[in-house]
Amino acid sequence: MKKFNTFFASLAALILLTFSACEEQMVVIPEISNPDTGRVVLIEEITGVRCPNCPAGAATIEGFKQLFPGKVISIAYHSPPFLVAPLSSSQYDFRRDEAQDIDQLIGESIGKPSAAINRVQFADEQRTWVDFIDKWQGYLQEELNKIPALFLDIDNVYNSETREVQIRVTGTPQGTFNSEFFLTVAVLENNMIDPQLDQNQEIEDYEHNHVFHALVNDNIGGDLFASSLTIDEEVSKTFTFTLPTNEEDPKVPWVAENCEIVAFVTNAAGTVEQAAKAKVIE
Amino acid sequence: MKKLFTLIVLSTALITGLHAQDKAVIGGSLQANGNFFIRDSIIGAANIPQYDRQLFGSDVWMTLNYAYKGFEVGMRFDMFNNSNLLNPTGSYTAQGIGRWYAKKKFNKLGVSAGYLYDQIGSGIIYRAYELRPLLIDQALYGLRLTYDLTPNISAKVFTGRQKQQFDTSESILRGAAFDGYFSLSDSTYFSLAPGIGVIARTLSDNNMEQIVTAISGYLPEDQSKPRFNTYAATVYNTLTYKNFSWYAEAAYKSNEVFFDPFAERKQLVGENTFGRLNSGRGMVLYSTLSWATKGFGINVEAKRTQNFDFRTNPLLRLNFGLMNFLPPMARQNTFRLTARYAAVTQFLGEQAFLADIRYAPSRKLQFLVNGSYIDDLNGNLLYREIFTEIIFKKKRKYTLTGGLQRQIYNQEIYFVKPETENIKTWVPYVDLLIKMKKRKAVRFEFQYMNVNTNSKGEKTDYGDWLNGLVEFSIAPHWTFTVSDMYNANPGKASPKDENGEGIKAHYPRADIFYTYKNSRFSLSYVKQVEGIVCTGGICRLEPAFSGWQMTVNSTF
Repeated sequence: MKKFNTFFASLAALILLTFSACEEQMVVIPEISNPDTGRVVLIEEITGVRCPNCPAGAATIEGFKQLFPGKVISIAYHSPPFLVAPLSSSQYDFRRDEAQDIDQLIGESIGKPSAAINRVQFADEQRTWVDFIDKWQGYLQEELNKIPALFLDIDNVYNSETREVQIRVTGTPQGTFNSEFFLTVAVLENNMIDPQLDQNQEIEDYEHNHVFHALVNDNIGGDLFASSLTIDEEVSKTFTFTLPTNEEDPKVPWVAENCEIVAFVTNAAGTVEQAAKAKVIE
Repeated sequence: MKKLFTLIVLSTALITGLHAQDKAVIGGSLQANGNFFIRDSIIGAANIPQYDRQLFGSDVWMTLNYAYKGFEVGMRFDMFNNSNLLNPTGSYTAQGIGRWYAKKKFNKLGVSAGYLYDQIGSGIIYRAYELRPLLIDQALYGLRLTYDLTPNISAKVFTGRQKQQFDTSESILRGAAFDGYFSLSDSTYFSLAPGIGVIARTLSDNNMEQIVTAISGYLPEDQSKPRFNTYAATVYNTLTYKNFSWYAEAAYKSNEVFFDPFAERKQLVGENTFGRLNSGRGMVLYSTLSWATKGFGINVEAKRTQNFDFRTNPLLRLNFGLMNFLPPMARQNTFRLTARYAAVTQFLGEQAFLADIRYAPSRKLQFLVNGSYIDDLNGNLLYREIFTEIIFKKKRKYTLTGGLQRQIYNQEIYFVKPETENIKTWVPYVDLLIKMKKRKAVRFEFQYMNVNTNSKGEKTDYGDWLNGLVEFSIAPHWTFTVSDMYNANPGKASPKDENGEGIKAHYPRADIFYTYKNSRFSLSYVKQVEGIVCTGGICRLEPAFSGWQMTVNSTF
């Protein structure tokens, strides 16, 4: 009997001690602040039509564009080999070998969806690709708060007969930097209706946007844009790219009205300083 | 004369034993794995760093322990080179002191510091443990005090942070438990072993900032209120009466934010999606009932789980940051085909029953029937299993084992494959061990898996399989095995040739084991199909494996 009393007395003490300090100040969810640094953040997403969690990733990124208007640009890479093979009812095939090369350049994603935010490997992450959607906003805001080394503009001139687009990328430095900067220019396409797996269904009429089709510049890590930057001294580079027709590349539509050019500048460390986009046909 | 001799022997043993306690005792163990990766794109063993360019990976754990007059210290060196254990589709390289500890008991007070393994009750609210095949090592880096309140009641308190590879979590854990043991006077027929435990986790400011930032992007109707502190408590008891034993545990977790992959999230743009941080209280009820007598035993278990995903950080996924262990409610099968589809424990919602009946009418004959029944909290089927086994032993001649397994497996949930039908399997199996002369033995093993056809006429998942194994052993040192798992009738998920036809792939395996005193060496050639691998009740999706494996296990 005495042993039982000792046991239950100890039990009562334990409960009192543990739960006596249960009060804490409630956490307030703050309003989202919209920084005015002029930074445009690039979110590169690894995705796939067979990836059931990827619609959530894409929708989250579109939500970021609503929260931070004009400050977020995204590229969707259907990087082989996992979860990217077309579905039985797919009309298109979004896989690109260059997408896999970029995936490996940034740091080899291990799950889908994963996002690289300005190609920064954040302090709490083991790699640049972040595979937990709920972490993306925090890292995005962290990058938006940084002042960019330069502002970026794109001017496109499209010839509908030849399907040639002249791309001029202009950078306006916001400071003086004695280091190299590299420019990557990519062609994406929007408004492609094709099936996509979701968590509990196959969405037959899913709208695929910002899908990477091709690199315009030569090097996957970016072409040299400037060996140094001097404040207010513009730097520019011009490219010519001919949009294939759907007959030439039946894997994707190549509708000029739906195509856009994305350009981004990386620094010597490989992280993105600034990004810009412009439609092929404005 | 005989009595005098016995007395001398006993006295010598006693004196030797006492002398041994004054001596320091040093011991340890070594476990080393080496993998040589051979690319095989047909089975999916490709496009992973180890197969593409690294070609070799290794994992090493070497432990040293020292004990002297009740004082114990130990340390363990861990090394991972291009290891695929932490993440099966990635590469992990690191090395260092993976564990150290020191402990001493002073009368009734026990003190332990360092990296500590422990649990409360069955582990439902707290378990710090290690599972090397999945590179789970969730030791508590901190301090533990134990105290013997009475000869029947012990108490412990602990605090620290969870180990994460060679780092620690930011969250701080603290906990306490009382365990008792009571029996009726000197009777050994009736006993009670009650216990109660509590644990609290405090998030760091950094973790909270990440959670708050994530939630701030949700629409207001989806936002939850995170808290820095989460508490969990459990009461448990084991009642034993003669051949009867009953264990019951009830655990409760206070309101906290956790990731719910099934929770709908309203998006700013477009359709609702699934998966967001949600909040709620958690509860687990678990009980086991067993009765055994000569030649007969029965064991039944029941568990109900609700919102018990308990981690050091709600933003961690898969097997990372888990603070507890929920008992699995399906049998851990051992044959290659019977173990192919494993029911992964669902942290957020599960109600399950498991029953085991064993009957041995003689030393020669044994029967086993095992059943599992697992649903989610809405009554949707997750897993069913009936497993039967008959063992017939001919003394010093042979042992014949055979039986049948039936499974129904919800691959939509377990494999996250939307719009797929349940996998239904029949697996007959037989195992024959023949004892030969001169300490030799040979064992034959054979299984066949037949799976169902889906509504489109395709075999589900990988389709039908055959598995055969021959093992030859020469005691006490050598064992040789050769096996092959053959995709006899490919299914929807099987690799395809250029015509789109399923490939009838072979997944062979050959092993050589050598045991010498306290050391065991092995060399294996393995081709392994992708699947869920479960060990110690924890599961993970593993990609295909192709290559050579070497292992060394030694204690000293």
